[in-house]
Amino acid sequence: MILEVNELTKHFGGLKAVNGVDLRVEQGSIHSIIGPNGAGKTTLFNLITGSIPPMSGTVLFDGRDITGWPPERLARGGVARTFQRTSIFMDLPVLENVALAIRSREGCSASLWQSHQHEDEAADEARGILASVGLRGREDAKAGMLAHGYQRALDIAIGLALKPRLILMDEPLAGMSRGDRETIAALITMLRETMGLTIIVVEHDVGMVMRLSDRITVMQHGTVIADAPPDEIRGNEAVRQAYLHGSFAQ
Amino acid sequence: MIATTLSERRVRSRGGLVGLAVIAATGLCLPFASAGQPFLLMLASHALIAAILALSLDMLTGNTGLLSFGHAAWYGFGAYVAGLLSKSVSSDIAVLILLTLAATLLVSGAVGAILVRQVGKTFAILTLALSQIMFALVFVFSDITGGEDGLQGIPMATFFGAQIVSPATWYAILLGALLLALAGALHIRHAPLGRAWLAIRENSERARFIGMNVTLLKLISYMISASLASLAGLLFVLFNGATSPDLLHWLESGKVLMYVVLGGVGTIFGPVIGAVVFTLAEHYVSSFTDAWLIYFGALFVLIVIVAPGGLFGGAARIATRLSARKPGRRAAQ
Amino acid sequence: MLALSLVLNGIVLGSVLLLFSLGLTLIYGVGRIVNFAHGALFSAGAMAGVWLVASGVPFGVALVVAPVAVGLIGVLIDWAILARIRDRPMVDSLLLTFGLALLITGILYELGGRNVQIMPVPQVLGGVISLGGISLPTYRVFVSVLAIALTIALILFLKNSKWGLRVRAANDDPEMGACIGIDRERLMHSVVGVSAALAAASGVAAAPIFTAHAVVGDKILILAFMTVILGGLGSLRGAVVAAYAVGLILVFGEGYFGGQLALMLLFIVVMAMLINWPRGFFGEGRTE
Repeated sequence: MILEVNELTKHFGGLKAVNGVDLRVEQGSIHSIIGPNGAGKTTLFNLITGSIPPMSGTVLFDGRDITGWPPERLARGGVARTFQRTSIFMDLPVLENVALAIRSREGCSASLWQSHQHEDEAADEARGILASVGLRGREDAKAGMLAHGYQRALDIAIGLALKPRLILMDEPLAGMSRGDRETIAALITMLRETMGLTIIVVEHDVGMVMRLSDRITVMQHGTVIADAPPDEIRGNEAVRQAYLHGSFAQ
Repeated sequence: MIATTLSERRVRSRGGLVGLAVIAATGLCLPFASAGQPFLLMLASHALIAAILALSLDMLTGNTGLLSFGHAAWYGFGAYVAGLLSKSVSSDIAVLILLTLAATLLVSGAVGAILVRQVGKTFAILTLALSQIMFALVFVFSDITGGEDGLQGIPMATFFGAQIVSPATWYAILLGALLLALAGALHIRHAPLGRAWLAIRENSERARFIGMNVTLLKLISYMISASLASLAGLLFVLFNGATSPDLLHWLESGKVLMYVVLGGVGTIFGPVIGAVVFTLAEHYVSSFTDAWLIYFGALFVLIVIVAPGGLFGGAARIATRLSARKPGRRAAQ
Repeated sequence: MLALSLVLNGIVLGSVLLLFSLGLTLIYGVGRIVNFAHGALFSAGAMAGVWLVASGVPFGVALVVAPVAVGLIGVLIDWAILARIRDRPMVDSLLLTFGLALLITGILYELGGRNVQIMPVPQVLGGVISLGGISLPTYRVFVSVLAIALTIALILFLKNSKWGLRVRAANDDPEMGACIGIDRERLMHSVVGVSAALAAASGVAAAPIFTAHAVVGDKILILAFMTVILGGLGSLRGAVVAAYAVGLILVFGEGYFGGQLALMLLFIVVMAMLINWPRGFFGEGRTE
């Protein structure tokens, strides 16, 4: 297990956003978390990625306790994330977006000097990563000028530059055209196949999740109501009930 | 591919070098133009100090987006610390620079560690408060700072035993200091540190999630900015031979802000030009009316409303837009 | 005895500070503007009050006329200047009010603000009130009562009037306010006007204690900034508690360490507070 979440809990006032959640994510799998609006998916995501501290419970990454680690420490420790509302450096060139992450990974963000050789190595690595997410030839464009789908791919590329072992994606398909959704889904599968990455996806698009995932966790009212491979989830009565009563996109 | 990066970098640094050369040439010509007009050289020297001060604020605001409304705090800090040290420890300028910078780094590090954790508005308010505290401190310790009368009787600065006397020498020192500071700022802008700052300025949340220690990087920016402002204060007090609490007043902070806003935040050269233009304008305006603060305030308000990117910033933006239209630049995409 | 006397003086200062900070909180809550010019409006009120009294206007009338005049100037400032940058980034509003502070201060200098002007304490309010060995000038008691009364009146007005409802709606969520059909422009004009009038009222009321000149508002502005940070930016009840905390810290600091060091003590308290409670006493300050 690369990620083990035990009894994780976070309440906001009286709202039990996440209540005693357990989660096991297997190394090298695509693991999706779904559920109706307000099920606690996003809170769980933010708890794991260090955006907010949990009230109780633990998060183990590769057997190491990472509960409550701040984002910058997680990023350096091999856990990357992408954002629902694409979060990139809009005013900077595409290549620089990725190069920033590479330098950060190497711990030289605060350096006053960088050799030409080192800069070129970083640029080459960045080009390689950009090519792998389908952004070859767009290195010099300003990130903000890219089309929406390409920006999402750049968001993922920035995450990849950290050489993570686990990458968490917050609704990677949200607000995308059908074509872009297919492209990003194919990209996610490719990352697992060729890089052996473990990927956790929080998603609304249930159809795509069924095709994409090795395992699915379904949440409702802050708790896990099902955790199984896609085929079993499809026939699960509790899940069907949750979907009927919750307002669900698909 | 590699060639692109290198040539791009050469182009980028060439722009900076041209700017540096222009300022150096203009600066070097002035003493000849002002021969027989000692006052002009004096005014130019003050403009150079203002330029260093403007650059110091741009090192903070232009790089990380943190806006300081009390930057005079560090200007005055440097002036008082250097002034007091030169009266008590040594009048050697090298020693004074070392000691003053050490003191500034220490204090700005401690204060900055708390300040840079605050978001925009709280940061702005606290910087103003800090300058008022420094202002108040001058009066608390008025038996050594001279209080209202200011710090007087500062010995003439020396450099390895030789006294720095002539206005021309001072002018050369100030010009050299400005050019060095500019070169440093340009270098950092293209170094990993400067590029990390720009990333933070643009999207600090994403910067955290790629593992940058945003607080530390902001603190470095704050400390560099405070140190450069403090250096400007040191140069001022040694050049001027005295200092007054006015140096720490919020009107002074307002002037520094004006230099940067007038010149365009983050443009490095803009604030320097803004400082020089403003210092000259202030001199000539205040020579025929003592209500210059009204003109200053009105201009400040007008610029924020009409040209938030600064006068020179606006010009630079237009220049960038024009050059972006040239066909060759787009080919890469 | 000294301690009790300091407590009373702390309450006096806290009350003036409260009245002054309310305007700052109000304008922040509705417009998300940190008004650096608030101190200059305090000075304007104080100078206007002194000028009115010196021209033979009774103190009680000056106490009403000066704030109304400055309030109208506030409306004018909002209409002519602040309205130009409504949808700009936060930085612009900070710079703009800072520029306004310079401009107003410059004007006050030219209107005689370079010299300290004394406001005589009105005769009815002269003298000293003694209570069990502690004496406090009657005028200070009057200022505190006035400030507290005005504060209560404003809070009641915010709670019960239509205007108050709009202010509170915009305070909670500016965009939501627009959704329920609030004319934002007119609301902002009125809020800036009321805020300026409050600053001027505290300026006139405090003039017999603080005197009047172009930068008399500088120090109280810093104190008010410390107040709103301690209380949490935009938090009304936070401001109430923090105003008295700042008043007491300052007066005790002055009593035991001397005038200017008290300000430093206050700054250290605020910085220490920010480490643990960045959102103020009630944790409801905004942090955008």
